[in-house]
Amino acid sequence: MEEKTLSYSEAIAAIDEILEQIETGELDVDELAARVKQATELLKLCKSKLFNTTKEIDKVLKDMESEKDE
Amino acid sequence: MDNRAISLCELLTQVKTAMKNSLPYSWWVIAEISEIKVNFSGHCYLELIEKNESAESIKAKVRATIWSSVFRMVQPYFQTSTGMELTAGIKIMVKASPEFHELYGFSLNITDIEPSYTLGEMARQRQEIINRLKTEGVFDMNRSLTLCEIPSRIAVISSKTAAGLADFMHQLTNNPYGYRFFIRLFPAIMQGDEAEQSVIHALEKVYGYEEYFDVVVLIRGGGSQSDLSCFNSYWLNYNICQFPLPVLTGIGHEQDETIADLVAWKRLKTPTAVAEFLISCLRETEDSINERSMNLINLVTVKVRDESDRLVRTIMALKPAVKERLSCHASILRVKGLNLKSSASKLIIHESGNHSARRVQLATAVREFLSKRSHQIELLEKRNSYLDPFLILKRGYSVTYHNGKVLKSPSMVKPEDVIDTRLAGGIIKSKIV
Repeated sequence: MEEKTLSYSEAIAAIDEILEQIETGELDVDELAARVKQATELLKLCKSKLFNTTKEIDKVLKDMESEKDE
Repeated sequence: MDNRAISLCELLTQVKTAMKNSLPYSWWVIAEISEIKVNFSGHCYLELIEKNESAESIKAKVRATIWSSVFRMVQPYFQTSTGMELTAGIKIMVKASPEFHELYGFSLNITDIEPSYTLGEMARQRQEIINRLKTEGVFDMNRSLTLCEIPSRIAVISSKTAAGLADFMHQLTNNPYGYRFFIRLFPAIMQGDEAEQSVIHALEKVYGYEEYFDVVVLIRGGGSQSDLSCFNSYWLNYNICQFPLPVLTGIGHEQDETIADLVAWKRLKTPTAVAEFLISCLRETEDSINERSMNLINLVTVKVRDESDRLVRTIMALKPAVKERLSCHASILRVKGLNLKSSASKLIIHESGNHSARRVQLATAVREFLSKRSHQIELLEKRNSYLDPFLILKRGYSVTYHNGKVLKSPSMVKPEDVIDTRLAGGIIKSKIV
């Protein structure tokens, strides 16, 4: 749930960090699975930002609508 | 009094005649259009003004006419030369002759126009505004903002009815990749006198919701090339420059860029182009996400392969190591076996040496013993020799036997018995008498 509040650039930065850790061999095999899972979730989050709505914006759009009606 | 009076018409006719005589020529005149309209028959009626230096008040004003026969030529000429139509607010240089009509009063009859003056004038004004924005340090402000990676929340400033707006919305909502855009229209008048204020007002409204948007799009329906003056105005551009979100323009004109195009974060030609640009931004972002996905997969694949290779290598390395270790131990064992053997045999040899030594010892001891004994025997023999009857005999003693028994008393014999006397030199047989 905490990840939902990450911005796109924060998520990308986190992904890049993981990629770098794997690339430079900093990660040992025991950690690998967990980090890969984390990266995959972050990637999913990033993608969702392209395709999905957030409640936040829906709300503000509604607010604006009602303001207009007034 | 009555005789001296003339009719109004007569007076005005005299004015007309006097003017014709004293101002018989045409003049090139510079003025600003404050009003312009074209009637159904193609005649163009204008109001021309001249403002004072501070542009706050009008110091001259006149009606002017471009008859349809002239207007048909002048209008396209002006438009193709300047890229804009004759419209209120622009300065023009026209060839005009003053005319006076009894009924319609004073006006200028325009017969020609010099578009390059307007161009020059516009360029000068434009440059002045650009310089001012630069001097004030705001010119590059919007352009130096960063557009976020997913500019999907869009505040659109446009006129509600603009054809370009519908295209824009359609293109975004039906993008082939399925990206989701949030588009909110902030309506504004995009041309005419009110445009500047209207657009500024719309920007202010967007500003109130700043955090909910990624980008502001200024679009204007295509078609008419006329009246971009609001996009060249100082105040509108001052607002665009300082707007905290990137502003994209799609004002839809082919001619020189407006100042708004220059100060905006990005200038695109048409609303459609703006939509394409925004979609391409998301596309790029998706590509970079996909690239990272691929990267992740590759890295993990490589990592797993490397690790398993390492395992295999370790196992391979282990085999000879084990073999070596085993053979090493085997040879140690062998050596130890050999050592054992040799030390055992040494021990045996040693022990057997001991044995032989002992045997020798024993033999020696036996021999010694024997020799000792033999010596003793010798001594005894020697001693005995003194007792040897033979030796005693030798010394003159004799022994006498009777029937093989030593005679120790004469009573042991009777006469006639034969006795044997043993002497050293032999035996003498004698008969007892």
